[in-house]
Amino acid sequence: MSQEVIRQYLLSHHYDAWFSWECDQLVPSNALNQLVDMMNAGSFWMVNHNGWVRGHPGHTNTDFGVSLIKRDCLEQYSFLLEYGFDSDMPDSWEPGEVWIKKQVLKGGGNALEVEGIIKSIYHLDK
Amino acid sequence: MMKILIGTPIHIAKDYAMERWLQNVARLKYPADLFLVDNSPRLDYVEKIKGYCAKYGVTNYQIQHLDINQGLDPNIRVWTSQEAIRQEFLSGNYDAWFSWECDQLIPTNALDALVRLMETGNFMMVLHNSWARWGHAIVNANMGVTLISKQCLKKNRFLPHQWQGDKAWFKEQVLRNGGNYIDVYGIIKPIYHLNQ
Repeated sequence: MSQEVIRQYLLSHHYDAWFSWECDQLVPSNALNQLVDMMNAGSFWMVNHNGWVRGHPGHTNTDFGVSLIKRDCLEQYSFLLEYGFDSDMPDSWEPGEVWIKKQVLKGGGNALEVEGIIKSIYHLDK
Repeated sequence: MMKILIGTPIHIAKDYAMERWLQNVARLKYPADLFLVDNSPRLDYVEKIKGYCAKYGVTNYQIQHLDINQGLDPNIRVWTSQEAIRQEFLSGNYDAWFSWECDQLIPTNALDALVRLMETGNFMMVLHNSWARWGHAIVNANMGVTLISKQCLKKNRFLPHQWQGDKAWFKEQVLRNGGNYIDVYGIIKPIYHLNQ
């Protein structure tokens, strides 16, 4: 619900992209510049930089913790799951970010998943 | 301009796709050498492949046959073939290996797009995902259409120490060794993953 509020805020102002950055992840000071460069390189709708799961450094975290999402994408796709709208939709809030990525691809969009470019990302657990 | 080696394991089981794939190779815009590693039983299939290459005007290629126990897990045959490609790559003067599975058809400018992305971010691997051969709703995150830099191939090999590795294992090794990669979705369109 909070992500949807942010999405609405972005759409009502003149922003080109949303930097979705979770409040328990610390990133280098040039991290956003790197995401912008990667987004521009391929005109990507989403650039998701993966980190490690909080408290489990060996497990890749593929949510929107350090992600740049283009306005075009947010104009078309909402964060509010509408159960019953799509037969593939998960019956849970938890994988909503995976679902929105899938919707982007189904809709003809594109996305970039990045590993190991932004170093270091600290995912705090205490 | 990056010098590219297209390196692909092949097997007679994929013959349903090979002729179309070699026609696709012949039409690729970006110049590249082709290195095929055949892990089929016997040598007959190599001759058939040479016939396809002649038919479509593919001339800058080499085929190596690996005599592998056909009773082994097919993944082991593929990993061994990939390692043979890596060795061939490192012995040449190439900048990147285009790992392109022989059952995936791509647009003629696909390799240009991968090269452009790799150069933009100095990435070690650019993996373009497609749909699984057995289902269009399943994302295929293997290395079917992937560009791998020399820097990456010098540090990482394809034969796992234990026989439980796969493409995910290779990616994990790249990260553990301080490398990086990008998984790309939806830039190269369409990719046809043939199943017949």
